[in-house]
Amino acid sequence: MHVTTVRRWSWIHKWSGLICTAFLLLLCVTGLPLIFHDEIDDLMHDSVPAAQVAPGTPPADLDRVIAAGMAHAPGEFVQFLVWDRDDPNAVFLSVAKAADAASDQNRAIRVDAHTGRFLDAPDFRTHLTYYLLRLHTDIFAGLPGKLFLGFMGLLFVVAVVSGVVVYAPAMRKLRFGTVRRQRSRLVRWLDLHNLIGAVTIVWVVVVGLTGVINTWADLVLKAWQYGQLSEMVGPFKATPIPQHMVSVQKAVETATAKLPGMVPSFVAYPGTTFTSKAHYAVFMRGNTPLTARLLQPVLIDASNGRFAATRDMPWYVKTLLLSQPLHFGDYGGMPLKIIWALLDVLTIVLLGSGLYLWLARRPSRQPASLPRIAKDAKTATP
Amino acid sequence: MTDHHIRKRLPLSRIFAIPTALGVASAVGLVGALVGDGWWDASGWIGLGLPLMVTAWCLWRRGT
Repeated sequence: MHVTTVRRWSWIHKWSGLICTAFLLLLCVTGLPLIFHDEIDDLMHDSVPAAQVAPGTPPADLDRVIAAGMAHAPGEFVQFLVWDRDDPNAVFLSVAKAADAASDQNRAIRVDAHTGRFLDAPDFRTHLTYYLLRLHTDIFAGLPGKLFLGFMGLLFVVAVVSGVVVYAPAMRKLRFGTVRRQRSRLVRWLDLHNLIGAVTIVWVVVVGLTGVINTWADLVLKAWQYGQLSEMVGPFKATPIPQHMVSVQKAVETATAKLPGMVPSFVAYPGTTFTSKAHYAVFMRGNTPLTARLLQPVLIDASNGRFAATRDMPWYVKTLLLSQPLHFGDYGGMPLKIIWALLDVLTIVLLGSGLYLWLARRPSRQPASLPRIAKDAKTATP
Repeated sequence: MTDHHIRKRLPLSRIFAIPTALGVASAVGLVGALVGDGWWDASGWIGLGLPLMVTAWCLWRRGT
């Protein structure tokens, strides 16, 4: 490769890496415990366990489940009914002060799916994992924070790709995975940086890019609302929220009958961001780890319980839905979570060593160490 | 110099052979575990565990 080409790519690698490093370190450090957020929540917060039932026990009537939960939230409104994917014995109600209020301040109420008994009302906003998640997704700055972190993620991907280009000349005379221990600290860390970069690249790029896609979730939801959802709702757009709404149990039964082979994932009540003012949207999912992420909404007229419409999600929503497991690593049991954590730690070492290499190669303020660094920098730079 | 140093310059195919193999293993693992449970999950553990094992081997082997 031409010397100027290498120099150019080195420059890209250095600056794209340096700009994003601080934020990527934040993402890696907060992301590490978030891999185990369920386990951490279970450990740190008591919750009332749902009744363990024999397989095949029929679930309680949903209208009873909702009534039991709402008895603990008088004057409030259900916005979403969510089945807990990890605990089939529990159902969540997400409640707000008004039917069409913004959902970001909602309270959660847990109800036993089989006995229909109120369990508890966990306050997620007091959980450690909530603070970690906010730091990880938007640094407490809402959409601008998300988009900013997404941009840092893109810079990181640029750093990784340019890293591949400068990897070749650096490894011209070295066997794969060499760590020259007898050499100076700078050379050792360069070797470690090259080794970790080379082995983790595919995972790092996938987790990085899916993370970037996740930062666009709000925009994807908006695009879906103005696109497919508004087409499905059609003439009902101007209809107010019905005074009397039909049974949710009936609505879910109608939706399930429309899409046999799928199971309900959550129900959005009329007036929320996931549906119109006139319809329940029953979001159905498949049964494999892959199809369990791919939701399909079934709109049910909330005033008479009749089926209104259902459509396959557009590609941009599917991309978002599939990018979630690939970012979280929550689709292959505990061993995959542990692997995710170890790869995350390697990424922290990758970022730290990159930062160290930049610091160590800068002109030193201590003249005594200059010759050593100059010599090492010469052998270390491609 | 020790054995890690090679006199001749390595071709690109040699330089990228192992990283490419590990990349393919990672990709198979990432997608495999998503497709199903049981053995599919195990494909994820192996595919993504391989880069970790290679890293550990490179760091712990002696004489380099």
